[in-house]
Amino acid sequence: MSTAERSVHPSFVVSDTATEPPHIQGKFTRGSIMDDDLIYTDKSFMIVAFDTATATILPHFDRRATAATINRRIIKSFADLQPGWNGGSGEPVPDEVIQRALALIDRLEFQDMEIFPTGRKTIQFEFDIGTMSLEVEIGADGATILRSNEATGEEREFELKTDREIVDEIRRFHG
Amino acid sequence: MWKIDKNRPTSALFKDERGVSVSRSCGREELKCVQQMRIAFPNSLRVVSVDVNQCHEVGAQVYDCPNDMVPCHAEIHRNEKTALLTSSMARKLAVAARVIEYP
Repeated sequence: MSTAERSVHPSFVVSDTATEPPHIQGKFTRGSIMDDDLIYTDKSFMIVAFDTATATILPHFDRRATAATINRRIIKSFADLQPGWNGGSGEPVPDEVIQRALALIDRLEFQDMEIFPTGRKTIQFEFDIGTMSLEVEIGADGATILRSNEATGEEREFELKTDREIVDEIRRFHG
Repeated sequence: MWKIDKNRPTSALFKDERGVSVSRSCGREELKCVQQMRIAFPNSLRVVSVDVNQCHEVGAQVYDCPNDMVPCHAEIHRNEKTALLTSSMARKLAVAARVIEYP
């Protein structure tokens, strides 16, 4: 690995010198594995490979498909969380929650979220647009939604049961 | 568990069925707290601080739970009956968290 590259996760390599393909404009996604193992995919850094053994720029960079691919990999990585992963506490994320999150990824037209595991065996999608944010905490039985506006202090917390309701809520947030 | 754009932890960090495990300052200087936290959690890259008053302002409770390893251990709970914070509480604390810069 060259000095321009740095490993931020065993399965990921980023480069801060790679030339961005001309058809990729600006930031298209960003994700976090855990413990600050961050994946950057903006103009400063871009993912050049998913595997250190094949460190090449992905051949046909499709903006949405690439983001969805990254998001799926992040979610799948949560299956490796061990008991106590969250500073001594934290349970593994159940497979049914991982599968539900993956199913949502497949249905979402908006992939501009950050994804985190929680200490209550759920997976959280976070969308931020300006001062507006949408947190979608996915569990086995549905999702807890928190819509908030930092500028006005408005907040709304509610539950949704079906994937369709969750997808619709994310679509509404994006206007 | 960090939001780069916002330079703060995600609210997911504050969502734990057993309450949010924290270390109280117990009169120690901030740098000392950070040093001891980093010894206890060598893989951590950042330390944030939340005041007890901020916990109370969002409606949460802070309970002292000292143990042999961490004498100043405490937990943030939703209330006296439920440890798990609401999403709103978790987010407010994540927003309120102050990043401690250390050498």
